[in-house]
This record gives sequence, structure tokens and C-alpha cells, in this order.
Amino acid sequence: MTDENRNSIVEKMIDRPGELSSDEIATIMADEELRGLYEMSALLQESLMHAPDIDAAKEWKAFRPRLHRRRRLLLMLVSGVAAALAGLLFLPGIISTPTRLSGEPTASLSQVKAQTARPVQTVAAENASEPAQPAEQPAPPHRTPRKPNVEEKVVASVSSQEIGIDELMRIEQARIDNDIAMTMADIYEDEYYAYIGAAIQLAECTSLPAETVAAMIDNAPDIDRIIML
Amino acid sequence: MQYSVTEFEAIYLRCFPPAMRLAVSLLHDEDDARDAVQEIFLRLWEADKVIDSPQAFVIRSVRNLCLNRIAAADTRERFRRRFPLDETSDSTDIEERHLMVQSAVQSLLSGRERQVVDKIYAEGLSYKETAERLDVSVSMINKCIVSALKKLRTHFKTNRP
Repeated sequence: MTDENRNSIVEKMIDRPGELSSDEIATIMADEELRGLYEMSALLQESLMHAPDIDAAKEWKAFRPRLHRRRRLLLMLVSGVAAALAGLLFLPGIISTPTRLSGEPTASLSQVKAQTARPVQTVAAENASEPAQPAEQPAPPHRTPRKPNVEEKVVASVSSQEIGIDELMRIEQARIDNDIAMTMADIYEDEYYAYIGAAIQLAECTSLPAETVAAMIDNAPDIDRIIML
Repeated sequence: MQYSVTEFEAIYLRCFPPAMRLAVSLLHDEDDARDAVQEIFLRLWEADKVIDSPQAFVIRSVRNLCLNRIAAADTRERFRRRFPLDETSDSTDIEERHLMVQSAVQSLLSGRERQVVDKIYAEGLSYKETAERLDVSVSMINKCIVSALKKLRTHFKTNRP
């Protein structure tokens, strides 16, 4: 590497490190001297960088709402997890209930489709096609006895499809309920912030003790509603 | 939560400035530093056990959080933000290390080198801005910086900060 290249890399490394190419980074990493210069540069940055002017009171004012917000978020998270767990516990019950009521396993959707499609196609043609079959040839299982079998299968397919639609409806309903709950939570959150803002303003105007204001904020009316959500 | 809001405010007012200074020196960015410090204060607020010395807790936690964030940065990000490439040693206190570097800058560098180093690292100016302020060429700035870094590196090879 020429001195010119080296100087160029050093200049970029210190002045415009964001512009270093991957090759240049690899060169620095592999070159002990360049790497040493970079490490020293990083140490200088760490040791000499001017600390910002810090107004702790202003920082506190900006930070304080996060304490309450965090607590509420935790509460909402806990209640959300509880709701999800409850859902997981109840969902298998909902799904398995029709199965248990019918007393036998429910056929899968593909099986049901296969079973119901054939009789519908063959019911009209079966009488015509039957005499053509040799007498010794065993009849396909779905044809004996024909009519009751078809009816059973149609009933079975309808109930299976109803279960599927039912489930879909439940899921969709849960989704809608969830959306409503989230919207309500946002509304309550805004109300809560407005309440806190009003409490702080009231405190500033009336010079209420800090404990009183803190108690007012802690007893904000919507906390219970958010927990319920 | 073991503190009332009033108690917590007192802790915040007392501990925020040193914690923020430490975070800025490590992360080289005021917003990132504020984010890290606030994260630690939230942890303190939510702590369910009594912490004997909140100030020590905040400073130690901010330091660890910042070092973790640096460790999580990839090589390109480290270069971009002038983070160290090697893991920071735990053996030396960070403030002590800063004092050693500041002292070496004062004692080992020439007046011109000190000026250039101060403009670049303390004030955060670019080469071009520094060259304009000091009325010299950009290549002269690079020469001064390289010379200063080499002197400091040689010094700290034997006196590890």
C-alpha cells in the first residue's frame, strides 16, 4: 500500500468514518498500525468529547410521564398475556366440543369433500351405469346402500363445514373485539395523559404538595378500565 | 416499586447528570445516551427489592448497558461512531482512563497538535472546519492528528489506560 493510500485511509478513518468502504475497513482491521491508530482515536473521542449541558430538572419533567406509562403498559401486557392464555386454554375446548357431541371423529375437510363430491356426481347416473357392471364384481362401498349413505354424507359434510365457519366466525369476532379493545385503550390512555397534565397544571397553579399531586395521578380514573381491558 | 415519586425525583436529579455524562462519553451520541440512562432509571423504578445505593446502581448499570450496546454494534457501525474495536477492559475505571488520556494529551502533544485534537474530538469539527478555523490546510490537519495519535499510542503501549 502506498503512503498516499495509507494517508487517505487514515484521513477517512478519522474524519469521515461513515464513508469507509468494506475493503478499507478490512485493510484497517488487518493492519496493526492502522488499527492501533483507530483504537487511539476512539479512546480520544471517548475521553475528550464535551459533555452536554444537562438540566436535570428539565430532564425529569420530560421523563416523569414515562414512569406511569410504563406501569400501565406492564399492566396491559400482563392482562394481554392472561387473555391469550385463557384463549389457548379455551380454544381446544371449543374445537373439540362438536367432535365429542357427534361421538365420532370429524372427517378432515379434504375427506369430506372427496366423500360428498362423488355421490353428487353419481346419484343421477348410478341407476343407468349399474346394470353394466358384472354381477360378481363387488360394488364400490359408497353405493350400498345408496340413498341413506348419501344423506348421511351430506349431513356430515354440512356439519363439518358449519364447524369450520363457526371457527372462522369466532376468530373474526375475536379479532374485532381485540381491535375495539385496542382502540378503547388508546382513548383511555389519551384521557389519562390529559388527566395527568391537568393535575400537574393544577399543582402549579395552586402549589399543592407533591404528594397530593402524585396521589391524584396514581388514582387516575381510567387505570381500572385499562386493567379491565 | 419501592420509591414514592418524590423520592424517585430526588434520586433522578442527583444521579442523572453523572450518568448522562458517562453514557455520552461511551456512546458518543446525546440521544442514545439519554435513552440508555432513562432505561436504567425505569429499571430502578420497577425494582422490587431495596437498592442500597441508587447512585452506584445507576452508574454501574448505565456503564454496562452502554458497553453492551457497543458490543452489539457491528464493525461498520463501530467505525461510523468511533467506538473501540476491542472490548473495553474492565480493569480500569472509565473516569480514571479519561483522566489519563487527558493528562497525556496535555503533556505529550505540541501546542498545534493539542489544538487540532481538541477541535476534532472535543468540539466534533470536521477536518475541513478545523483547517478553516486554524487557517491551515486539510493535509496539515491530518498530519497533526496522525502524529498525535502515534505519540499517544506509543505512550499507552507502555502505560495502558
